[in-house]
Amino acid sequence: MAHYLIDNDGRPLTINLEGMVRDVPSATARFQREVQQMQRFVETLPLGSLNSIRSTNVEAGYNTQSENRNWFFAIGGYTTWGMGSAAVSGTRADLAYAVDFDYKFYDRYNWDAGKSVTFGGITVTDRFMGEFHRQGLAQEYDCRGSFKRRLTWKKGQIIPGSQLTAPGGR
Amino acid sequence: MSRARRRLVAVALILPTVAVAGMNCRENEKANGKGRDMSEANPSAATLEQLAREAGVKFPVAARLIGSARESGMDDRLCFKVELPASDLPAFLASSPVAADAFEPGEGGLLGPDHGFWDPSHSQRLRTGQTILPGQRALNIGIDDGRPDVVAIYVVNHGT
Repeated sequence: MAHYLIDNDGRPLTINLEGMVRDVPSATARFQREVQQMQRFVETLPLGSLNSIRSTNVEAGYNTQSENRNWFFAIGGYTTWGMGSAAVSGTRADLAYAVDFDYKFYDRYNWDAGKSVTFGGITVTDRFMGEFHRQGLAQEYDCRGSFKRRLTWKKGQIIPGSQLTAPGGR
Repeated sequence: MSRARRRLVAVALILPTVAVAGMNCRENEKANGKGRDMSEANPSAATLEQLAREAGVKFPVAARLIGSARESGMDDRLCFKVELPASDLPAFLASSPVAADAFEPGEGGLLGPDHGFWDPSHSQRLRTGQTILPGQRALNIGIDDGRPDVVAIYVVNHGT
């Protein structure tokens, strides 16, 4: 909100996506689902190939307040997708996969009319907040985020959880 | 009034309001021993027909609304649970905006945490899918067909 009201420059804001995925259970599950989708696709690629991969569609998630108040107020709903490069090696009997996976996040910080939020009994409507933008007193902006993972596995294996949780920057 | 001055006035007005309200939240948290949950159970305010229309789904006439809730914030979220006879599931799927191949086993982070009537984690055989609707909204549908006669449908519609 400070970026919206005080900075008031409309510049994109980079969020700590790793932190959100770590702190919000549904965001963790959303990431795991994206990895599972990627894994299913990569296992259809031919032996010896090196491929650029990208999600067919973005998927949306939502940080509920009961999961994490900070991420609820800061982000709420959002979209994510995955991309990267995938290599298939080994033999037909023993296929090995290596993916440099880039998990991406996008959200527009905007206050559309028709919604509201209540802080301690005080209701703040989206129309009220959005009026600051319309009057030039605040600017809506794009939120972006990403992190990378190096994922390796063999056909039929589940990608170890340790590979999903390893630190990878933002 | 200059733009910079107007901005200062706006910030001076809004930030104390939010700060005071935030402190009030903290006090409530202390008093209750837990955070205030802004998700609002909404069991009687809307009919299944109204909720289905709002969410963009259609249900067979035998469908029964179990409960609904809303979460208000920068992005709003509506969720509701419905039960219908297992024999009506094919008709529901045929009219569902979520394509059949979009459903995957489990919850996948699309249904959120349990809360009262909302209990996807207790499903016996759950699959969940999503479609993005016009206006950057998401429609998530979870189907638990693990019981022989009754199917539970979990519907989430939220902004992004």
